[in-house]
Amino acid sequence: MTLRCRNVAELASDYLDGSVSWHRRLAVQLHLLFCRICRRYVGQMRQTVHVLRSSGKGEAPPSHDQARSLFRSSRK
Amino acid sequence: MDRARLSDETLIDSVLSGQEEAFVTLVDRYQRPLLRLARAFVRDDALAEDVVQDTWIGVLKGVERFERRSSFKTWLFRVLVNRAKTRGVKEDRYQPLTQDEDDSTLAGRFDETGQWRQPPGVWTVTPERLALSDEIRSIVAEALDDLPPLQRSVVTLRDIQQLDSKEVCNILEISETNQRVLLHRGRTRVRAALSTRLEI
Repeated sequence: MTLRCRNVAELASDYLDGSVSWHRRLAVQLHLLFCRICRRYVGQMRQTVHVLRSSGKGEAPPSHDQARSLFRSSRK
Repeated sequence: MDRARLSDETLIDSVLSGQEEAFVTLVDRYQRPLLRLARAFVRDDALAEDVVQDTWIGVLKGVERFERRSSFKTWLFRVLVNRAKTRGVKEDRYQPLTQDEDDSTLAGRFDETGQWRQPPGVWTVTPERLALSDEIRSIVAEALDDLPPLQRSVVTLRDIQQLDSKEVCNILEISETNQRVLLHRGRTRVRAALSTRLEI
């Protein structure tokens, strides 16, 4: 199977998640071995996923007063 | 005590035994992702806040009956989806998540032979620093808010909440294939938003 750059770009997300078949994964890896631009693109996708995964932390917490008042009224 | 490090299940046990601060910790943990998901179902910020409030009320009422067959997180998001549908329909603001979300981010970047016509540029920042800056976080937050609802839901649940694909398909009632396509499209758009800022 020979993959074009377009195929690799379309497979990038699945490839990074490991949800492609083994022969497809090999085909992607072979393409990446020889294609600097796709290496750059897949690398950027990897960084994007990394940023998304760490973006859940560090957000400002919501107001606690409302949470407390909900809790108290549920106990009545 | 640093409650932020406690597991959901431990916090639930504490909530059941009447500990208010445990509930506050859960709200801290999930309020923003719940809001993000709610906005995918109801096109109105104020209503989305109401839906999340309904969700927490539902959690407090239903937590005794939560059987822990799934993770608390999965259960929580399912409660939200149900509340969002109920409130959305009632207020006539419900928008069913459509399958019909066009993806044009990668179109036109390749020529007829499938090679890059518009290749990605080099990014100016190193991977290690990428997650840390406030500016990057805010670009990502904005990019997420701009995503079509279904893409936003999948990216939020898979990448930010790190639920597995089976749980996400369950919560959103979509197929595995559809879920992968939506994740791909959502991530592609977020990458494009980062690229606009980071390309040399």
